[in-house]
Amino acid sequence: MTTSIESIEQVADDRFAIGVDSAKEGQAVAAALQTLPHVVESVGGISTVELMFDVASIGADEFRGQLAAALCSMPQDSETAGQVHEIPVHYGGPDGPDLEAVCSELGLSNDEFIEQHTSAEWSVAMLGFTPGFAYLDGADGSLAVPRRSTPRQSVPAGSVGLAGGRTGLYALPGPGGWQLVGRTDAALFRPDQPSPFLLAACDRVRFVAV
Amino acid sequence: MSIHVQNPGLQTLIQGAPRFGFRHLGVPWSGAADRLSLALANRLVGNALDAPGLEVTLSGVELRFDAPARVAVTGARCRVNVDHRLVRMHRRLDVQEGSVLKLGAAEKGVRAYVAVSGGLAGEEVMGSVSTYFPAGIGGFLGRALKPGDTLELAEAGVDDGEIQTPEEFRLGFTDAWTLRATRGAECGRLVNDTDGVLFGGRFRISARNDRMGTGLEGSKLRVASSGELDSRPVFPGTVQCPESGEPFVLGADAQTTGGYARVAEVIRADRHLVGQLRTGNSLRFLEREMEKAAEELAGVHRFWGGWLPGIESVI
Repeated sequence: MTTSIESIEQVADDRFAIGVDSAKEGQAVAAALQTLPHVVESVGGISTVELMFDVASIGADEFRGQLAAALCSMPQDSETAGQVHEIPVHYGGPDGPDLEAVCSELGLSNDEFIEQHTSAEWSVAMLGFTPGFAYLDGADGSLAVPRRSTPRQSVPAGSVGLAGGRTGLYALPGPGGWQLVGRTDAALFRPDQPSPFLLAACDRVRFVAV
Repeated sequence: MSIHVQNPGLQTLIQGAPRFGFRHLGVPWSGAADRLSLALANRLVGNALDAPGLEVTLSGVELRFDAPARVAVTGARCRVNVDHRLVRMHRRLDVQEGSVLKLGAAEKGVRAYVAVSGGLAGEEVMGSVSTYFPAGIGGFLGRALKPGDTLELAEAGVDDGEIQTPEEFRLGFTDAWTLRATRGAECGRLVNDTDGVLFGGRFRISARNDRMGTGLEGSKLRVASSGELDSRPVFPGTVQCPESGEPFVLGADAQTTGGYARVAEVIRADRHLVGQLRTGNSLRFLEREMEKAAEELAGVHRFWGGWLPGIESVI
């Protein structure tokens, strides 16, 4: 764990950010700080963890001090293996309206892209954005394309997007700026289940073209 | 006691306290978009400030009560009728068996709130009954109300509350909003002097305006496009700016992480106003330092504490 107290920065009147080196570290730090007193939310991003504190019970300076003390005494977290999932994907067509653009950006044919996307092992860096939305690392970041400059107002549930070398899975319909290459029928969010999310941080995913 | 939905209007939702503590799993807060207005309504009928009530968006609502009930209407300015008789907002209303409560279209602001003594019953998911309809959770079957729906109370109504909100505690509604904001973590990505546009420019509320966020147009920012930003945590009140240069303010149903530059953060004291920004209204941001924001929040708590004990848990 390389998180340092120097990286603590106030980012809103009721929020602090801590810099982290990886999404994995971010998940571990966020989880460890979840139970700290006065914490309302502890959210791990890909390079930061952010904590919202309860302004009714503690001031910003005092909270910063408590946060620094907690980071100093944070134990090393053990590796978690995670589950393995196969996710069927319909690539291209109406399910993946940005596939052509992504392929021309990467200089690949559709088949070459699908081959590379399905042969890589992806790992869930984090969940976020909307319930069950999974950010996946894989293919050594070689399938890197930018986000759309203007986000779509509505992206269908199950959409498989690409941005910045990551794959993103949209569990729910909603707005989004990732380039859509396909769609899965897998139920990524199951609100009636005790564990409502199919994927968890550190799980591994293999995509299968159908 | 049941409440029958005769006309649900454009979008009427059961909303109460936010679904705190699950943003790390991607679960947005939800809850009343204007928590202060819901608190004011609840105060009049003797409920906890965050008790579930109805959030009525723009077009009004029509409800029939099958038993006497104590209700109050606050929030966006609209005409309110009980059995075709014009009544006032910010008043405790004692409705009778068979009475019909009707809210007209919002004239200023976006969202009116209806509180009923006892609070509305709803599906509790992850500690909150507030509706998050993109995921179909909470509230009434996880969705906006439809004609013919029947609502129940969470608890029996109490013979308590206040006759009316004192004049000084009624929120003013406007067409020209000012939100105080601190500089965002990626404010440095603004090109040249466009942070003079962010703090000082006048924006217009665009048509992309819902519980997730409110789009701004009319003044353009420029954001450095040097590579992609990693997804960062975002919160209601975060102002993000994509490369198109048109920023947006995140609302109660805001996603939990986002990849666009976070250029500003609406201060906590003003976040409840985001839920009332109406398409076509104007908006400017007033820059605040962190310390000043904290002082102003303390002032807001002192002021509102005079009428709403426990306001610190709401604003």
